[in-house]
Amino acid sequence: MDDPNVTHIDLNALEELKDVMEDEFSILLETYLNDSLERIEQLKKALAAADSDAFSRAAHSFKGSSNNLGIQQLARYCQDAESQSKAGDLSRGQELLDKIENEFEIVSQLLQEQLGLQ
Amino acid sequence: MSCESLRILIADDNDSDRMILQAIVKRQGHQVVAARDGVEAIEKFKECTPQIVLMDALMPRMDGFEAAEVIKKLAGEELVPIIFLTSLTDAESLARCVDAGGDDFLSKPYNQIILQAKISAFNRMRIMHSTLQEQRDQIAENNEHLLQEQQVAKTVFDNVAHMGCLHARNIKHLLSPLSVFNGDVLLACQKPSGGMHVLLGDFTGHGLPAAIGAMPLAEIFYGMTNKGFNMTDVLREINQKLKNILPVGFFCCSCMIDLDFENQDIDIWIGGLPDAILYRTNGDVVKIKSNHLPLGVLSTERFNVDTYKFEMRPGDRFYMWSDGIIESRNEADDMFGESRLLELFQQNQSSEQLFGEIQSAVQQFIGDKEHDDDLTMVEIAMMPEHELGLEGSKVGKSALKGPTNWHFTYEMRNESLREFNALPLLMHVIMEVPGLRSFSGQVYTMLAELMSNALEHGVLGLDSKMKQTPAGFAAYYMARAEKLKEFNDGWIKIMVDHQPLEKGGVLAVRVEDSGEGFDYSDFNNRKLVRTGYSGRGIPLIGSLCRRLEYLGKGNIVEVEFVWRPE
Repeated sequence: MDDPNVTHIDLNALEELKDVMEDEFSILLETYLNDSLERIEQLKKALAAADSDAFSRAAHSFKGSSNNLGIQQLARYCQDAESQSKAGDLSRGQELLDKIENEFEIVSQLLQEQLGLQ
Repeated sequence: MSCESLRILIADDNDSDRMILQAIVKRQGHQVVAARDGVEAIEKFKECTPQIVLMDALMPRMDGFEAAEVIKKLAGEELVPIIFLTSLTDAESLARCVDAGGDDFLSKPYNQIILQAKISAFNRMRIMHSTLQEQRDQIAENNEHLLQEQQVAKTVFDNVAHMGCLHARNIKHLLSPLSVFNGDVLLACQKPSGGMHVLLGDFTGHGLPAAIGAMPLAEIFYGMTNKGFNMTDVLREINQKLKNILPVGFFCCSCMIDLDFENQDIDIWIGGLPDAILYRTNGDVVKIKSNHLPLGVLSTERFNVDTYKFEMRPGDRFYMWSDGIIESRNEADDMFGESRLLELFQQNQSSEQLFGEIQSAVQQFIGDKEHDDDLTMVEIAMMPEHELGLEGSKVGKSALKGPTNWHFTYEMRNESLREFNALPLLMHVIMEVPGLRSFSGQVYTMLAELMSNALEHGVLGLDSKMKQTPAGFAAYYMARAEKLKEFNDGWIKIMVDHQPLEKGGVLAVRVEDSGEGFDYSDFNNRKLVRTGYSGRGIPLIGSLCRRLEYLGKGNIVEVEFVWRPE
């Protein structure tokens, strides 16, 4: 399922953002990281409550913001989670949530490095 | 493109997404108003009136769909483009955005070039929309203005045309209230000598240009008819006036009639209008073709006042119309046409009903199609003058003050006598006496008769006995025309004197001519009897006047007319 062409972070996209955001680039990254933690909490709660709707909405939102920062692999997992749960199917919920959490760990590391470079 | 700075509302609950979008939009030189959900978006919209809205579809409290609907309502007629920010891609979700009033979509990740293109495209559309709306409002305002101006113009025209006698019992007419703006004019006026002038005119064009010529036309028509000018003089004057004031290519197709109730005949001048029709009680239909150019085309020298003259018996009817009747069209765009019109005359059972029959046939033909307002038509019937229902309604009385005690002498010589009709001029002076206008018919008849006697029997020396046979009648007029060219050193002197009484006054007229006179020895005492053609004038005057007397060698006549207001 994992596409070898899909990277953790599209560095070109991130460069472009750095250019657009200027001084606010680090604030953007911090905001993203905080928001993402919140999204993961929402996914966990929804799964525990077996609320496929809430699960799908959180995954959708997470996908959008990840895409905007060029965080491709994570957006991919969110997309999978969204489309499965949208049909009311949470059978692979835990599995996908795990993937999302693991991927987010990696992305966090990479972004922290980016912040460190600032 | 992006040089114009806009106020743009960005509504997105996702902080990082909003930050990115905000940065891009600001970088393109616009001001940003940010909101975190639908409720806040509406508040910010009211507060800051942004020109373009970028709105996330899924948001807490109130989603983008609902907020978009509210914002579109708040914007009213103004176009506020709403671009939905969404990573939704299924058709159903996109359709919801459109239903809610969304104008376009922008998907994540945001692309700066695409966003810039969309903002400037929608800004162009927004400006176009507001220009369109300004122009629409301007047009509506101009139109209202125009209607107001037309109302004023119509009021002025109605004031000029109101003294007409279109309400006389022998007239039926069809005329839209705003017909003057279709260029159609219908005027009717009693003549001081009895009888009636009616004129139907159809100016070229529509609206104010068509109406403008109607004012002087009506003024001249009423002014001159009231003063006793005959139809050909009125037509000449109108033609000259219109020729002078109307631009090239503007003119007035017209038909004017002079209806004589006493002699029961009709004089018709027609230029440029569809054939008029004389419908006789025996069913005969006489078509009267236009044989002149419209009024306002030819110069005075080339203008021709030849008329058709027809006998008209009581109950005979005369019809004239603008081209609106014949050219009215049905749903299939066929014209009503002349043959349909003539058929109505053939099928008609009672001439009393014909006018209504024509009217309803045309309306039926047009059907439900929106009515053209230029259906103008008039029917004029011959009937005894006292049955017209016009007593006491003659010409508006001029001021109550005016000269009542005066005398004048007017002498005409040679070419003036040959070419000039002095009657309207004399009538004009005499009718300044307040209250006398009600008697203008009698005064006119009296003066006309005295002056024509002085010219024909006095100056020209024609023998009135010639007129006793129909053949002699013709010979008389040939001789008159001959002698009129020949005479030299001829003159007529008219002395008119008015003195007021407690009520009314005495109008004394003395007419003296250069002729031989005649032996009136037994005339002044003779019982005045109406006999044959030649005796007609004098007994008539005798019946009107307190005194009628011949003096000198018979080339002087004096009359006294006493009048009292009712």
